[in-house]
Amino acid sequence: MKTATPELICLACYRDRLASVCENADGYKLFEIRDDKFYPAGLLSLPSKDPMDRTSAILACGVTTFLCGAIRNQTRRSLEAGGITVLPWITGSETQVLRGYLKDSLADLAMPGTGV
Amino acid sequence: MSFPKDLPLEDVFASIADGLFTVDADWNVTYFNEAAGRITGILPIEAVGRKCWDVFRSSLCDGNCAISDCMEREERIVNKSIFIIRSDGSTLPVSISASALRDGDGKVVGGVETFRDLTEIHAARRDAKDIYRFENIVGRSPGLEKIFAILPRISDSEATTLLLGQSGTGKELFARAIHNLSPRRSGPFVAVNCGALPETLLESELFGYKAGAFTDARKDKPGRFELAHGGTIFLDEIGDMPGKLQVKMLRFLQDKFYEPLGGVEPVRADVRVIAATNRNLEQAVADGTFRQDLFYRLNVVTLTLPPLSARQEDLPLLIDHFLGELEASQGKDIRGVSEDALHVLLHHDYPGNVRELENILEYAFILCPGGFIQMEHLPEYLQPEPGAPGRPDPLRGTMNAIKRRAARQAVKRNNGKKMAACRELGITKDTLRRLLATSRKGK
Repeated sequence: MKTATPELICLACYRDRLASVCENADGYKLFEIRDDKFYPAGLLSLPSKDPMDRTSAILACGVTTFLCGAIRNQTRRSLEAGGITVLPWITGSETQVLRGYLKDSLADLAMPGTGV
Repeated sequence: MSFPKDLPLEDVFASIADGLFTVDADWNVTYFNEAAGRITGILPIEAVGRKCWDVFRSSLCDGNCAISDCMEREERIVNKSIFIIRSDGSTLPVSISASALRDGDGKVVGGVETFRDLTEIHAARRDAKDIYRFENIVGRSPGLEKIFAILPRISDSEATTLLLGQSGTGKELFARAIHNLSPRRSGPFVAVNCGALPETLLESELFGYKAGAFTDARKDKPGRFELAHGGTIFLDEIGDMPGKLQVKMLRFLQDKFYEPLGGVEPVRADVRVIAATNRNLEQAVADGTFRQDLFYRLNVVTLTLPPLSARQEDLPLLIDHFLGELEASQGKDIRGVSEDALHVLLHHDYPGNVRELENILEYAFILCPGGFIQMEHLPEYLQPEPGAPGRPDPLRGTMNAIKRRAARQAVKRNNGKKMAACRELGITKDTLRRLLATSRKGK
């Protein structure tokens, strides 16, 4: 279970589910995790596909953890270089992923062939 | 020809070298052959029953699905180039074909997609182009070859480098080449456009800030110099850097130290600086808008990149290069540029240099549905004026004359291959033969 201080997480989404490929995401959805609950904290539309620009955008919001589906190594490195924890290779609806994150059970939502 | 009903389909599918999978109407994978497993790195047993986008993870998933497209348009998709992401994070170029699956009543019950690994084909194509290629820079003009000759020595040095050239000449590409050839190649390459950000944002973007430096600065943010530690920073449009930042830049170039916003301790960064501008920096120094001492610090090694108008012989290579890249990224079956469109491209002045050529081809790629890029796919400003001298109007003449001309040009475009010309025009070989025969009589 997630407790401790509030944190801001970001989901790379396509519509109401996690985008199967991070780079295809049509929006980054932000959620604040507080008292074992999640609260919507905004949506970042994605004007630029440059990983550095996207990283700067989420860093500016104070995001600490990034959850996504498949992700290119280059994009992942760019995020991690900015100090963001990347939890990739996850599938599911927004709610499933958020609940999985709260309960530390993201392994149940692993994409096939990834063994998260 | 109908498929024999008593053949064991699974054995047939298992025997083919291409990956093949089927989905039901809810996008669940119902079959995944061995080759699909080999190419994607996912075992068939893991793939079956999962949503196809979780298994295939392609550049088309999330909104541009090929099978969905087939269902809507009632057409097959053949040989579309896309990429997929394997579980190790690497990208793999593949060519896909897709079709909807219907039951006996014509109702859609799912779809089938086959895919072929294009890694070797792409590598072979790259090798062929490497003859006229240096890192990612394409060309064989004398001006460029001179630069290719000295680039490795510039890369080996640690000297600050200034790239000069008109907008669109590929300054960032050269900066990347210098980085990739340098001993710092395993470190990061970080590019910043100094002209794109306002002064305050540029300062925090370059040098970072400390928590409490200003309202909302709740924690430290690393600047691009810190992110480039051990590598290279590329400062584009350095001529547009505001005066206050020029002082900070000068200090960094002198002793490799800088101070983040709100910081009290100077921070050291092991970063090589490559700067670029399309402005006349000497004039800017004379005008008092650019510091003379910074100019001399930057101007250790200077490389002037030639405009595209001075390297016309590189145009065919560049066109081929950009079309290959667009094909790989957008997955359209574009076979090249038609003769008359190529004539226009080869005789344009390109005031916007290579970037303008790239934009023209991207525009044409969007408009061209497939086959060859034609005149009408080029941007309007490249279209010849009606009745302009020296440009034959392809639609002038009788209907028969237009058909004969189209037949001749199609054969020429397909290097004399008549069956390929038939396919392009959608006519039978008898029709083509008749058109060519009357064409010869008409000469």
